[in-house]
Amino acid sequence: MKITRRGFLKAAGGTGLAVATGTLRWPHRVAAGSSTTLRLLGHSAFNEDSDKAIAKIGNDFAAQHNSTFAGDFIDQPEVAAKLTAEEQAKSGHDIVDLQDNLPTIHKDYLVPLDDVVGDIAKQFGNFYQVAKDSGYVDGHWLTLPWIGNGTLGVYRADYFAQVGERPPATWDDLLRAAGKLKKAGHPVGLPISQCEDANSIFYPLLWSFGASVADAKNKLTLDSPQTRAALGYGRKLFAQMDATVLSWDDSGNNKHMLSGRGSYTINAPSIYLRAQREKMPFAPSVRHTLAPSGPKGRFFYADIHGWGVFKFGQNIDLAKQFLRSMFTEASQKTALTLGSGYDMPVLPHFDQNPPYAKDSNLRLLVGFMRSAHLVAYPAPPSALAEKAYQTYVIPNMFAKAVQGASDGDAIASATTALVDIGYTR
Amino acid sequence: MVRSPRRRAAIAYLTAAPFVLFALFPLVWMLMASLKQDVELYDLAQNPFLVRAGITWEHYNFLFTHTAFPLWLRNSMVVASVTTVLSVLLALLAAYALARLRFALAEAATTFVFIVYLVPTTLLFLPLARLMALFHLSNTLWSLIATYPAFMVPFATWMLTAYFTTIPRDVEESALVDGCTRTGALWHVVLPLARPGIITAALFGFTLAYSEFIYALTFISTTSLKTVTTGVVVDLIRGDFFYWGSLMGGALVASLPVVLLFSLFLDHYVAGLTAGAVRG
Repeated sequence: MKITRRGFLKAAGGTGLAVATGTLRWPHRVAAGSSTTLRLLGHSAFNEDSDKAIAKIGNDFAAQHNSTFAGDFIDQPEVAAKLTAEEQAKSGHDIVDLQDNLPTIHKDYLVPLDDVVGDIAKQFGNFYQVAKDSGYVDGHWLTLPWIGNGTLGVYRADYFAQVGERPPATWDDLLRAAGKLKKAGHPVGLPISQCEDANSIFYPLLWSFGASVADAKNKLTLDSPQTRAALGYGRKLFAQMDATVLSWDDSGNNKHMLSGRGSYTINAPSIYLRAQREKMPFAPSVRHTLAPSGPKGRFFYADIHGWGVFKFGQNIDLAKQFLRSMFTEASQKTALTLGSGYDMPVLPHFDQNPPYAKDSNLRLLVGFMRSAHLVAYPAPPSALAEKAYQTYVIPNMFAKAVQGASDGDAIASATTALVDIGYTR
Repeated sequence: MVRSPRRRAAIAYLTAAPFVLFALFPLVWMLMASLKQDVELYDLAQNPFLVRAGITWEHYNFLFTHTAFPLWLRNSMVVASVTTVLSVLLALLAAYALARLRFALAEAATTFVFIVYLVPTTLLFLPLARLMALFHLSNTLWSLIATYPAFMVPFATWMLTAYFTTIPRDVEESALVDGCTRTGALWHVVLPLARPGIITAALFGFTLAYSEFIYALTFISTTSLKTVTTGVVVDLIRGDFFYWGSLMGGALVASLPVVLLFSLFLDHYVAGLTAGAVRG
């Protein structure tokens, strides 16, 4: 049958009109006395079950409080635009997910949650310091820390065995193994690009060499022999990796390992969990080890996700009640079981024997948060640190260095970017 | 030199081939990726243009049964169609006035319309978010229908103004002399002649609305109300794991309506774009 334009327009117009009529209804105000809807905006976790855990806790709470729960989950990079739009509109979600130092940026719009955190701490003890670094701003708890995501060394035990190497304990171990693994056709892969994974790798690398971005007064300390040593190490390691690491997004090192080609990366447990769930043929060889240590020790970076309540929200008291309900034994069990080790507790009380500790590859994560830091370290949490993180200043510095820039030029470029953000020299 | 028809055809096809390959590349890439099993997708040693381990429909199955993709597609179609009709109607009136009616600052107004089109949507989404909240339209498809004309009308007006200037005034004036009102001349004479321009503006407008991202992301939160551009990205990228097969499948299916529209109206589209190209 030949499709004519006229026929197409008639059919499409008729169908479109019918669909549009059914789809478009003029919004109406909610009548007084009707059920309240508690709206939550979260980041969509790698692990779909993490979102389901929040939805379950929310629905259970709503059922007990004559309300409904609406959880909206979007990918992390889009959260910033969404939050900004809602703040400008003074309308949107009641509860929002604020990662790491984001509470410092959105502090003017957030309800202090000192009473909520106080009640939870009274019952279960204090939060880990890294969680406090995220949620506690200018003398008030502006978010209730919820979960943390940690990073580990992810390696292929079979490839390391083939080249006679053990899982790397230090950066030097990794460099030595990287040369052999590259020759064997299974290179190490760390993203040196504008992605969160690169941030989570290169800040701890700097710290482990004794370098830092700024001191406790946010004065820049980046231009140091320690930073130069870290850049020198980065160049040597880059020479043993695929050049494509310069273009990776957050999925780059996942693909590197799940393709079966890669031998090592540093990442959250998503690679391990995915290989297990998909029953990939090499899944038994995917193992975890702690991220390497440097001359000044081993440092951990963690993502902390906390819940903030918007001041312009219509259901502030209900939102606070809901947040309290997220820290019961049952709620935490739900979250940590469905979180599968990708989500870790931010309260030591729940980190004694989390459900995923039964898995020897995930047991390394128990107590991880005790010695983890946010990117501001060793400076106190700040909006400046968050902006440096969001604009990938440190990965950019390493990317310049490994592509031929001198230490001085790479550091100068990063310093300029940091001064533009607001740091002082 | 006389060339045989066969040789002429061969030259024509050979000339067109690189452009066809260039245009088809994304579609073929999406199709191949969406039909591969995850294990093969991740295997860097495999040829990306061949499916060696057998075709799988699991990515499409996931897309249509585990996500709200059909709803996102419907929402996109509805929003793009309604805003295109509204915008082209408004733009027709504006463009006709700017091209035909003599009034003070007509030329400046035309330039202003063009400048408005150049304002990036990323600058506008914050004030518009405030407006949508004031009108209680946040998190409804109406928020998109109300705001998309903000960038579609200036573009369509600018395009149609240029097209109207290619239609000889004499034709319209003849109609006026024969007793037609200005509205009648517009309806019976100008609009039929301007059909390629109108279709081109509508096609461009539809594509702009259909592929818009930032307003759809910031104004809509509920999964069932998302458009296809945000739904696919927001729900199929989870942390550092991308559902590549379903992402590619979603992108491919979502691009089909636009491909169909352009195919059906290609001749009008070419005529609309080239109008005025040889005008002395």
